[in-house]
Amino acid sequence: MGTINAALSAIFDVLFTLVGWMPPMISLIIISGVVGIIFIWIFGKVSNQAGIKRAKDRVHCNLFLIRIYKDELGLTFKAMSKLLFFLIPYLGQQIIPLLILIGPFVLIAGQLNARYGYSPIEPGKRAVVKVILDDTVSPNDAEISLQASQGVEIETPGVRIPSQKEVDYRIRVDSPGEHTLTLTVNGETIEKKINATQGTHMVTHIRSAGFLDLLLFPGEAAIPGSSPVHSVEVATPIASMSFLGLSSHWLIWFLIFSLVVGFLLKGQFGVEI
Amino acid sequence: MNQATFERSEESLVSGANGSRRFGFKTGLLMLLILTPLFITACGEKKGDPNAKKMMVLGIDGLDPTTLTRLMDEGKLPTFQRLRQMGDMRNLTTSIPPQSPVAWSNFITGMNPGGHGIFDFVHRDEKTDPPAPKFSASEVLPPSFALSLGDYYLPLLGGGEVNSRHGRAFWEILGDHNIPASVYKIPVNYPPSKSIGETFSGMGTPDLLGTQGTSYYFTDNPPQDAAEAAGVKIVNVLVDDNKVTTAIEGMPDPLLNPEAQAKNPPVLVPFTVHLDPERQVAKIEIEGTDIILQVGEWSDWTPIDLKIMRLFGMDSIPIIAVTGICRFYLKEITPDFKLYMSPINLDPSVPGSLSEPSDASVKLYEALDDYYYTQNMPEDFLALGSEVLSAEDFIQQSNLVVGERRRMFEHALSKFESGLLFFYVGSVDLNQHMFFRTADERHPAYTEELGKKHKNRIEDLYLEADEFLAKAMEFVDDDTLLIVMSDHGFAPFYRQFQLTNWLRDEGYLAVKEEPTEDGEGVTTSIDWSKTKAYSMGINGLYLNLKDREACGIVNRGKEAEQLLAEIKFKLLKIRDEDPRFKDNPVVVHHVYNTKEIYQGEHVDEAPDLIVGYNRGYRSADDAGLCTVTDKPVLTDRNEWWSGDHCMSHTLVPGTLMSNRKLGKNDPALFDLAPTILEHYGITPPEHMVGSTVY
Repeated sequence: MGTINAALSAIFDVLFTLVGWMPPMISLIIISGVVGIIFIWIFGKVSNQAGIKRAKDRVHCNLFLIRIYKDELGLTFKAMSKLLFFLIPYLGQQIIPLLILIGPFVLIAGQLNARYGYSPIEPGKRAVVKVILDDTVSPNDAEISLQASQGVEIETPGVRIPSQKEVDYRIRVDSPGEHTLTLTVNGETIEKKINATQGTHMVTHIRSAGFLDLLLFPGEAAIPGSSPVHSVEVATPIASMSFLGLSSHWLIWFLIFSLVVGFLLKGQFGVEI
Repeated sequence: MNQATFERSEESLVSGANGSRRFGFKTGLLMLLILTPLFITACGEKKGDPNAKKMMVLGIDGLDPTTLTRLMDEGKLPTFQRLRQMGDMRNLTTSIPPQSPVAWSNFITGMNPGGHGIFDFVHRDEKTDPPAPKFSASEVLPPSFALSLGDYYLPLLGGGEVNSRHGRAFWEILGDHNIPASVYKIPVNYPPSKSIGETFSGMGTPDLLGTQGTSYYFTDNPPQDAAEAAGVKIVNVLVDDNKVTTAIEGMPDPLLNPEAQAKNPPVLVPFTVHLDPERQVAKIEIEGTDIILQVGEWSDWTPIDLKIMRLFGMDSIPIIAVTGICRFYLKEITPDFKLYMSPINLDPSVPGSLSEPSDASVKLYEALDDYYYTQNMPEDFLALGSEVLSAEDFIQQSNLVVGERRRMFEHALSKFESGLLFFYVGSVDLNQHMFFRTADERHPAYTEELGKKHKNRIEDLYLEADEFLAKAMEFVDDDTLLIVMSDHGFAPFYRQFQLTNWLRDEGYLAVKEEPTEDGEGVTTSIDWSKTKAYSMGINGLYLNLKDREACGIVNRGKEAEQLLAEIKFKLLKIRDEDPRFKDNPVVVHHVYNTKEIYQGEHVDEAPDLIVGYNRGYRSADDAGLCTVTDKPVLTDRNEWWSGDHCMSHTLVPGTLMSNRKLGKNDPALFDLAPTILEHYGITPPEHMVGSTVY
């Protein structure tokens, strides 16, 4: 997983050298469009196009029947029940291509989330650092220390919460830039990045040993399995993006733009969906 | 755009292949591009005359001319000193009575209380029988149309909060003449009156519970007199394995009908506190937000959602959430757990009734990049009064308020380009109320220890005010008129006078043999069928008139006049027999007959008499709510609230300073609205009772 993340991060780093200077919404629209085109092309290749067309024809046929026999209650109900029946094979035809597409979608979404999903912590603002220890380590017994690079102030000692295997600190970012937290637990050291640079940069709020975290938050290397630390999380503000005065999470805009592009260009690619 | 035009536009949009129609599309697009900004400008907020003369008014609540002069003469207030040298300084005659809501209403409207209808912090509720107290500055009206849906009562039309102050604010009149005015945090302005510019509400703004500030104190060792802590909800919690699981008890679901409100629990916001006694640090988990606090620290602002209209009563399925903001203060972890939470302030990041226009509060939030205090008086003085917060805790919180106001002022100054800027500073007033006992050795509540620790607190706030003025002076050029003013001065509050008890002792107020206490009602122990006069508010005294009070027994005319004269005579004769105060034992300095001193449409709503106490004296808190107690009529004021101004108005004048010479020798608060209007060449309306001070 780490290798895939590293490769994808490198690809997206290159991509963002091309579009990263743009306003975030513009770069997201471009990326969504490109993803929409690629996904509609893949969908055409991995789906049973003939089967989808056949299923859609049957659905359309029954929709047509409902319309022309709207005064014949019996025939309308019959067409409706058939319509529902034929929707099942139609939806069934979508499952396999969607299952194939979900993998690349998650990987791409993870990369985009790291760049659009969180706002950098602004200088002067505070954040909570949550450290989850491995099940074998007791927060009260372990030797734990946290240090920060210049530009970040650790404001409190760690709150030990044994029942949750957790130690929490409060930090304050004093200057913009890339900063590093260094956590030492029983002699083992884990680093966690903090990005306080404005603009579209990779902002990862969690570094973890968990597979799912790694999949969804790919910005930093996985914590080794042998480490006494399971994850280090910096509470980072969730970003929202505005389009035509409407504010929403980047993922909503991404889905809308990529779907619109996919629908608009499906004819050009000869794809039935 | 009429229907035909719209159809033609639609047609041209859908038929791009035709050359001539494509021209139509392009033309339409061009028109759209040109017209859209014009339309937006036309519909957007009106900015007013960008070339209007500049005038700045810095309103510093409670800035006492005597203290100010002393500190200037000692060289401690260099900017005030500079302003006095370059311009002028006078005592400013305050309102009768000299209470902030009354005084600021005089300033805002240019009228006296007979015109604007604000006579006290507390008024007599004319709708109740028997008379009961009500908050004077604003009230909530029921909706004119509401939909009943089971237990829910959904207001659809009308109703809501209304400002009880009558008359037009000076900035509304400026608006009529296209003069922009930005008015920050002025008291008695909730909901705010409109202006060309922006207006923000201040003192009188409720918290999310609809009160004037209810805070919370979570502890596993509640104080013995917990039930008496005014304005603080004491919540008894259990610390189990270094963990506290509790909840903030909000208001009853406001969308439920009254019967359902009584049956259902109030809105709750659960939260958990994890304690680390060894390191004296804790983590608060509330609605997905984590807060880490060391003992003795205040948190940043924390937004919280109170979920109302819960489906099937389940917290997890709310339909509507009301957002508020609060701060936590971790007072102690061991040996006792003590966590204080500020009142839940209305959230300024949501457009609402905190500003005019309603999104101005949001823009201010965005400009400051932080939430800000919106409640009545931002300092948590009730928590200090009930000793839930120590003086040190309170000072820390008060300094947060001052810092926030400084940032807000700097923002206001940075936007000040034309017209009027008014900015209100309240911390000087609040800190004088609370810390007079630490600076005056004669005060019954003075102790050497307090003196040592906090003697300079009041002086520190005057120094802070000097910094505010210095900041303002940076933006004042030769063409800008600057006024620094206060609503009243200050005096010690040594002795409290229980006016209700005095009325009882003198036979004007009768008490039932067996008082009926319902725990909330404050007038239930009074026998109204035998009561001739009663007190309501800090300075108000009412007759129990036959054709005004539902249970009245006194006839208007001769009987009423004789009674008023008799009460006035007796009040002025009262002497404090305590030997500590023998040098000036007069308790009541002046008694005002409101029919003689007020003018305007609302004189009839005023108390019949205003009791003007002597310096050092004021009414007791419970007398203001018409409560009979078993305490003596005169007692020492042994509380944190130890300085005051609700006395005879001649004893506590306010301050007036300007960067230009003043022409009037005895300026009054109600002169300032006409002064502002005349500065812009506007003739003050006839109902304004004052005239320009220049």
